[in-house]
Amino acid sequence: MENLKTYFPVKEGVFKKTTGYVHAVDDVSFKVNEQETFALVGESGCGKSTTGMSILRLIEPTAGSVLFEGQDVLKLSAEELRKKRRDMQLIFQNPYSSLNPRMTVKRLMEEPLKTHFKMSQKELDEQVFQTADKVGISKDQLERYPHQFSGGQRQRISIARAIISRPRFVVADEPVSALDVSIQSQILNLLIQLQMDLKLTYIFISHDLNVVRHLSNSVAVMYLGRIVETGLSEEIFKNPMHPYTQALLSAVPSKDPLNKKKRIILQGDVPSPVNPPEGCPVFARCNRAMDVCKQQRPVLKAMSGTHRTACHLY
Amino acid sequence: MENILEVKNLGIDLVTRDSIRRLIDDVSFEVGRKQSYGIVGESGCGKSITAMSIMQLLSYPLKTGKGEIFFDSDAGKVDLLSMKKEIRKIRGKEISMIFQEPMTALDPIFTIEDQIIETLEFHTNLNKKDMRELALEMLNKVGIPRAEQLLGEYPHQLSGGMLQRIMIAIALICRPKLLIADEPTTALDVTIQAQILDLMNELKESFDTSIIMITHDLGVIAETCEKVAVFYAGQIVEETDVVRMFHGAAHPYTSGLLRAVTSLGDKSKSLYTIPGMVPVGGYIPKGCRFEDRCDRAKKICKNNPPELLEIEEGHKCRCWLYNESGDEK
Repeated sequence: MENLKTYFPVKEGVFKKTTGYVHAVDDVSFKVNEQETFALVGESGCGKSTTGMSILRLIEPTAGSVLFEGQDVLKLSAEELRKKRRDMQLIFQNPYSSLNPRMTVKRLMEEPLKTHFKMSQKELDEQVFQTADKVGISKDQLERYPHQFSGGQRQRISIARAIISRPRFVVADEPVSALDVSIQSQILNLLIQLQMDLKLTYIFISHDLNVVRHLSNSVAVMYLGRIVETGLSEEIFKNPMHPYTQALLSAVPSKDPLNKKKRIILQGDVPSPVNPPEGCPVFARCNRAMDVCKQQRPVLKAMSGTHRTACHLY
Repeated sequence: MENILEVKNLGIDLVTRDSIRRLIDDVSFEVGRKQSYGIVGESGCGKSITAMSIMQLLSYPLKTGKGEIFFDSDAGKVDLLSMKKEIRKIRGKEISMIFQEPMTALDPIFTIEDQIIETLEFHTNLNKKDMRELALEMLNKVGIPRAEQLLGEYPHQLSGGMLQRIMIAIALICRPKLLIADEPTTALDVTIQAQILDLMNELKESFDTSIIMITHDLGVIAETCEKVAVFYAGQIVEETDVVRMFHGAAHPYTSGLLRAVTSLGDKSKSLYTIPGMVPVGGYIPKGCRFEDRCDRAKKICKNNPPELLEIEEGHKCRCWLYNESGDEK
């Protein structure tokens, strides 16, 4: 994916004149290797979900390109895109609102197959049974409706819907953040298991750094629509270079009352993406800001190997 | 330590037209003066309704069916549950509460100033000017920049972190003895959560307030609390001080929760999971409520509910593993 930009126009007044743009995703580039998990992390409003949606063209990006197996997804016609979606699927955050309450689980799971393949009812049944078994939904639950399931089981159904068309690439947008702790770990284990069985590539979008650390091979930390640091997840978690990443990691509460971390407290809030600051996006909240940060926007520089960070300190 | 709050054998019922179901069963705990007491559990375990019952904020179909809640008020020790309208004098003044979603807890059609002063108008005899001054002072204390200007603004103009600071300001403006914080940082980002938790720790010291911190996040407990109660399916299953909870948890549910969280980050192993899920909607198993998910369940657990027993000083646990009379069976 290269130089992806997604701007939303801000419209004002009676005539809906465009007065500015929300720079939701601004010049974001990264590569995801086959069968790896690439995580996008950041606080709410940093553009991580918009990035995920733009890749699948659920939101039309303003500029840039998304190459999927050599083909630019953004240049596909509507019909070609529809076919491509078979290989690229999405798991949503909230399993309470992403499943149609009027369809049974079986129909929910058949839907993607009917859209993408011509199958007889017998083949459909077979696929549904197989997939249900994979995600841990039992056969006799298939005739039930979503409201009869708990959050964790609904997320299993969402996952089943995403993988039933045998995609190679799945964008998971905060798949566990609406769930309880003890259920979260069940779903995470399921995602890992499926990745191994079906050779899936994930883009995993999350604000929970512990979860990201556990699951991902590579990470990109986003702030105000831009990537501020990216690299292998071990590098990022062991040796964060960007002051924002450092603060973000230190803000996660310690799980040990005897060993409280020294926290770097970021002052203030995330600035508005309508008119992003000219210099470094983190400038106003950074504890190591210098004069140059105010005027000049830092670019991603290679630190070591794949580890890159956008900061004037280096 | 003196206790500011004593909850005794609290039971909360869900009353429907043809049945009464007990959601909270026999919950007892004490909160000491200047103590921060954590209540942790998964959604639906009853931690929030327990807190609401302290303030008498439960409404139909929820009702306190049993028990007493003693509070050491200015007028001496009172039972909050037996109070009628008098509770209004305590609510907001001596006990106050912050809620999970600052975005919805404030009224969108009133300015910040109106909403802060509302509390003062009810509980004090100050004049307008003094109230405004006190409001400003409070906003400065909770670390809000440009407080003067902000008093005239409306909630939608502010971010979640700011609104939560304002909620804290409103809660603390009458210098309450007890602050109940119901998931105060769950709706906020981690960097903002760190700011708010630091602020609460700081204010607790300077205001001599006791805090009841309700959360599902064990990290928040580790950062802020001294004593912790773990809730499961409407009961306390373990109560101890925070260090022992993290380093010597006795109940299989507590240790399961901890393992599920702390194994995160270690990629070599798959995550530890507690199988199954919380019993739903008032269905209560006959024996131990955790029995079907427990990896150390014994025969006795199935049909006999265990009691909350003191297994060592200051450490209570509701489990047959620590009850000698359950050994032979």
